[in-house]
Amino acid sequence: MADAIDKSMRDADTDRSDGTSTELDAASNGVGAIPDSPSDDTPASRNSVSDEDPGRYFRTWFWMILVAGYGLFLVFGSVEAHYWVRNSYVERGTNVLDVWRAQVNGLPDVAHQTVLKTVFLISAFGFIGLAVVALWLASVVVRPDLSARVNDVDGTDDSARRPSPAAG
Amino acid sequence: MAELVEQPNAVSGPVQDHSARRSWIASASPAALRTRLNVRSWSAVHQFLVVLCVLYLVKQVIFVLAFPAFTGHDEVAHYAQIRFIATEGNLPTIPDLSDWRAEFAENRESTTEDRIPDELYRYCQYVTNDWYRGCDVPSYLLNPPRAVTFAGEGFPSGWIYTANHPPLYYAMMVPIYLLTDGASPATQLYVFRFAAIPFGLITVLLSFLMVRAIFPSDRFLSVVVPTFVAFQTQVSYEGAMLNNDIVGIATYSLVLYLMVLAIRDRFPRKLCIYIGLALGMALLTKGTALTAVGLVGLAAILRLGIRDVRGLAWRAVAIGAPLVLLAAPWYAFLYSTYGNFSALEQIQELQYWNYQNQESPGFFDLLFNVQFAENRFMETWGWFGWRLIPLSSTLLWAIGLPMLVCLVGLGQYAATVIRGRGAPENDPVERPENWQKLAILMMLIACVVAYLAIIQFGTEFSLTQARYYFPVVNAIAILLGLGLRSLIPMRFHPYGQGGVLAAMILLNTIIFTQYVIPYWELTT
Repeated sequence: MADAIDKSMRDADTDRSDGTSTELDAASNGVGAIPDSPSDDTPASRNSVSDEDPGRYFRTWFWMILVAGYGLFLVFGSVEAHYWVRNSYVERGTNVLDVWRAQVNGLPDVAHQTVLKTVFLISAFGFIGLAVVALWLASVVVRPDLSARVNDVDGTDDSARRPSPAAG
Repeated sequence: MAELVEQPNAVSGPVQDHSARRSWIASASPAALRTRLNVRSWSAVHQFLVVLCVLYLVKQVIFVLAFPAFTGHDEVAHYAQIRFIATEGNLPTIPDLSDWRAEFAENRESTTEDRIPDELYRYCQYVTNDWYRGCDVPSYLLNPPRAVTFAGEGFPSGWIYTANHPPLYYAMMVPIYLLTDGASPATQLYVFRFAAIPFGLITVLLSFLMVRAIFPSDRFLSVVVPTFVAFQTQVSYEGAMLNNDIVGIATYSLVLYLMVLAIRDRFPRKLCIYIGLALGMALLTKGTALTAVGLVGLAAILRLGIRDVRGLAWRAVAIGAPLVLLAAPWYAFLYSTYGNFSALEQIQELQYWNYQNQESPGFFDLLFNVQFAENRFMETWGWFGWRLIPLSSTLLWAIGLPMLVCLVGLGQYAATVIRGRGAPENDPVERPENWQKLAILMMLIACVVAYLAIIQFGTEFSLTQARYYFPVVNAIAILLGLGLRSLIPMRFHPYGQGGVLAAMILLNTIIFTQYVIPYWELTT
């Protein structure tokens, strides 16, 4: 599988290096292909695109709103917690943080409690940190990547797999 | 596998082998490796994939630890099966009811069926009714029930009801059992749960590879599809518990991925052999993988054409030989032990509680039963364990409505593709090649077959569940992703990607904060 992902990365490299693929500019209303524009985000293309890409400004704001909203929800938010107390179903407003504190205090009663607690806390905070990074990569850095390709006629042409010059 | 991807067209010749070897040597040089390991040089999609995988791993740690020991569906029975194999050195079997009754008539205290260890009876409320649920009674805790009487007839209680499951998962877990032999069952259980995480990760990676195989350059799908799979709550739950389901999901996903490659490359020989091996592994993990055999066969016929009898024949041999080689011993064992290939007849006899107060429903009764579909949807997102934690209907609608919108988008996409006009010239997703159309069609068929299979199972067993269609989660993700993609204008795709990821993160956070943690931690 590592080989296959490696291949997928090489495909991306190929897209970048041969200059044959095209990409719809994220900021150009998606109506025109720009021949020979960088199709993926190499460091160089990322820098140049970030300077010229007005959409990035709005996407950054979008990301900031998502992250701020999520952060505020975690710190100040409250939810209707659903649970059972002595065979009766309870729905009670509870702070998000209080719920997670209860989880930290209720970790499984097995060996190596300190290690378990440390692992859980690292995972919980790691989840939040990585979520922020993943949102950045998904919404700000990652842009549409449309490599135009020649359609095959009889459905048997394997060239469909390979990026080919833009049809326009 | 890389070789398969790079040389998909035919059987590799010597020249291609040499060039592949040279390319491998070049890519393995220190300089090339340094470049490869430089994260900044990766494309944004691959950077995202790596972050998503790490995010998945930490999320799974939370899943593992948030659920108390043995509360997952069948964890007690699976643990018993692993212990049985590790200590007895052979597979447990399902008791034959008439033999058991004869034995029980002679000695009510010591029947010899393969049983779940008595020390696990304290978790009896998380087991099916195959072990009488009396663990709140102190005397039963000291001496767990071995039999029950129903309608004047005796039935065994506490038998290992997972004994008809194929052995691959248990064989992989036995070394872990032996390594942790000195620990308590609960500690061992958490180790087993952690051992499930890699299989979930493999499923996420396969979803990425599959969507890259069908649409190599589309970033929207490359982000959205693995995101959906990584954050689907019940698939994540399967990937954080002691259960063979997640291995079944991973192996089935591998079959689907290889099938897509084979559709693209017209079923070359090497790929057929790999498909056979993957099918064999899938069948050695979970019996539900049988549907994948039919899917692969149908894909080959549709891709090659029914008239190419010779081509179909040698491909059937290339796929069938490794498949039979791997799976035949298990099916031979089933037949020699039970006289059939599933042992479901024996289980049906033993489960006196199955459709106890009603007649078994017919296939079409379940197909058009709205309540049945609603329950499966609930099981797809909530009801963790044996239907323990229900989600509110508001939340289910909040999940279901966007999915319905995606299905509308899928319909719109299908209409555009079938019409063959109206799609942007330079959008390869909206203008798929014939093989891509077939790959998408096969994803759709896989989903339909998976749902029909749980309906068929439900005509005989009341405990049919949504998790039996989780093996097609990657296909579901691709179809929903395609639907969503067709509804979002191109320039808004980055917002769509971020929105889907944010929604899935929030959904997981809410389900845990509002339902899972309160259910276990606030109750007392």
